[in-house]
Formats: sequence, C-alpha cells, structure tokens
Amino acid sequence: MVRYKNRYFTAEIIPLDSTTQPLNLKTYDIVTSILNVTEQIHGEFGAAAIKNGLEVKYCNQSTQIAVIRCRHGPHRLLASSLPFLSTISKRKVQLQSIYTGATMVKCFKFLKKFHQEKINEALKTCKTEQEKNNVMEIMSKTNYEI
Amino acid sequence: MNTVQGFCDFNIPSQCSPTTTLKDVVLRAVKLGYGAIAINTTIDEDVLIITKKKGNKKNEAIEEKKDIPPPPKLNFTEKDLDLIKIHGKNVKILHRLTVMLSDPANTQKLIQSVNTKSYDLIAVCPTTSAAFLHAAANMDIDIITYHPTEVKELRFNRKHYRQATERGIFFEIPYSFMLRDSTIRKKIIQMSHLYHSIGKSRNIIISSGALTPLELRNPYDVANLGLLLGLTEGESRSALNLSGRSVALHAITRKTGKCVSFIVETDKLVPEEQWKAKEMRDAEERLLGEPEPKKMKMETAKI
Repeated sequence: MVRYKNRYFTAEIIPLDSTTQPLNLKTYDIVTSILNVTEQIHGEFGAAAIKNGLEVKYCNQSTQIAVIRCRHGPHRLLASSLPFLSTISKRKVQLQSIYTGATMVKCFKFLKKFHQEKINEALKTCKTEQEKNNVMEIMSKTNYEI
Repeated sequence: MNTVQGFCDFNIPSQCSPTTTLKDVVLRAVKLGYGAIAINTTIDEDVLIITKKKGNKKNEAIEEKKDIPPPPKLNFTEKDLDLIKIHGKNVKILHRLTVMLSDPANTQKLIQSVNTKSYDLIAVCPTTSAAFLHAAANMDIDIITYHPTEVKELRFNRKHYRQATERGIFFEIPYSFMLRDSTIRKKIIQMSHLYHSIGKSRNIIISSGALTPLELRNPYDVANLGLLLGLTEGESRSALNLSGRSVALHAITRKTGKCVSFIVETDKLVPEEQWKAKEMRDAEERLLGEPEPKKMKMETAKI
C-alpha cells in the first residue's frame, strides 16, 4: 500500500497593523494569499506545484493559528515562501511557522503543548492571586483542557 | 507490420490557425525530427447525441450532418514526400479522433459509427469526473487527454489511474497550451503533477497540439520540459519515444485483437518492408544449400 504523503504547516498569524480589530480569518483568503506569494517567489511553476492538495485545515481566529496542508515534495517550495507572506485580505500580517508535521494529530499535540507553555507564561506575569484566578477562570470556560 | 519508430507527436490539430496550412505544420514537425505524427480531429459531444424525434425529414437531415467526420486527406506533392524521406526514415502519419466527453452515456454512437474505424487512434477528453472514470474503466480508447480551458476539475484516485494503465491507455499532456497563456500554463503543470502524485507518472505521453508551425518544438527540448511536468529525465524521453510506440501498437490491437505476432503475405508487403521478403528468400536458400556438407562431415567422423 502506497501512502499519499502530506505535510501540515502549523503557523501563527500575527497582525502587524495598529488596529485592535480581531483578525477575520477565512480559509479561502489564506489560500489565495499563499498562492500569490509562492508565485512571487517561485514563479508559475511553484504556484502550480503546490496547488494540488493545498488546503487550510484548521484556522482559529482567537488563537491566531492556522494549519495548512500541502503535498509532500513541493512543501519545500511552500515553506520557503511562507516568510514572505505579508498580507491576508488587505490586513498586514506576519506568518510564523512554528511546526511542520506529517499528520494533523501531531500538529494538534504540538499545539496543546504550545498553548500550555503560553498559559504558564501568562501566569508568571500575574502579580496577585486574584489575577491568576481570573486567568484560570477564563480558560476553564473554553472547551480546551489545560 | 509497419510500426511507429522514433519521436512521436500525436496531436497536430487538423484545424490549424487561418494564417498557416496543416501541411506546413506537418512538414515542420518532420523537419524537427519526429518519426510519427498524428493529425487530430476534435469533435464535440453533441455530435454523439442522437436526436430522438423521428419521421420528420428535417431532423434526419440534421442527424446526417452531425455524423463523425471522416479523417482529413493530406495531399502531398512529390517534393514534399521526398523531403519527408530525407529527414526522417519513413515518417508515419496517423489519424486521430478526439471526443470531448462530459456524459458517459453518449459513447454508444462513437463505437457504432463507420467513420470511427477509419481513424488510427481514438482519444477522449473527459470534462467531468464521471466521464473520466468511464473512459478509464470501460471505453476502448488509446489516449485520455486534457484540455485546460474546457475541463474544470477532475477528481480520480490511484485505483482508477491503475485501471487505465493496465488497459494500456495513455495520458496526454499537450505542451503548446503552455506557450500561450500564464494561467493555462499553471493548470497544465498542476495536472501533470496530479498524474505524478496519483499514478507516479506511469503511461504519460507529451504531445504538441500546435496550431502554427512556430509552436512546435524540437523533441529534445520537449523532453527537457519534463522537469516542469514532474517527470524524470528517462521518463520524459520515453514519454516521447517508447510510449508513443506502445500507443500505436495498442491502437492496432483494436482492429486485430490481442496478439504477439503478425502474419502478412510476402506479396502484400509495403514497399518499405520488401527487404524482409528478400531476406527470407536468401535465408531459405542458405538453409537448403547447407545441410549436405554437414552430413558429409558426420559420416567422416563416424568412420
């Protein structure tokens, strides 16, 4: 049995403009901006090569994280052009790829760890017990386990 | 049997652009060193749809008009024929029929038509996934081709691709579309990468589809295009060379049935193959002449 190999890029989308509006992420916008950037860097060949199987599998507005699927092989073209991505649907952004995995499960395992570390950092900055409790309360309301 | 040898270009449209003639394109291809050329007649699907109204004479007239056209005839002068023989040894010119197919139900008339049998190669350009699957699994064809502007999205998996390759069907990538437009270029590269990822680029042929003589390229240049299309060096060379030969052989088996060898009377051989008959005669003479001295030797040895 031959496997159809994929690569999943987990990337953090950081807005760079001064407005505090939440990022209105749509999967279609992300895909088109990725295709545009790859065409700039690697030309028509690069854009055509990654287009098969390119999909945004997961994208979360509140955590600003997206998981992008790409075929194994041309995924290197995609990875090398991700740092140049600067706009998604007219918003100035920066893309920080934080993990490259072969399955979605591995990506989410990593994300869980990643968020746990972020919470620890947030707790460190808290000065009083009251603030710490507030943070924990907010987190307990979400569906994710800490 | 006259088989195809050398580089093949199985897609030269019979309706070329108004500024040139088909003859110019063919002669240019021969000059570039192609050993086999197929002249392609493309028909739309509505030719195959049989109008159901009967009794009305007007309708019958329309039906007759919509029949599959016979292959176009090429009138070469003696000068042209000489040119063909100088640059490539006996260039083969085949006729090919391409059907744009969107509904798998419409294939019945294609098989029944008398004119279909006069074509050497039969190709299908499926515009929907259903048509693709039908063509790969059931239809008796040689080539599945791809048209970047007519076809929107094709979805198929490894099983369907393998079905087609096991039945000897080849997948065609026309390169002259890539010379015309940027978006079309991207589409063709994408499609050939899909063939690469799904079927490991098995059974691929690269052909031109050139409307003018300037759109044709040297076979070695075309082989270099393979890098863009996700083929290795050897694969892209065989996509022009060996695969073309097997396409032509597969087309012959449609008329004869599956076979390993082929018997022809020596009197009916093509002038290019007359040497075979001569060789056979010589060999026979040699065989008939030789046995006597051998026997002599045997006898002397026994004594």
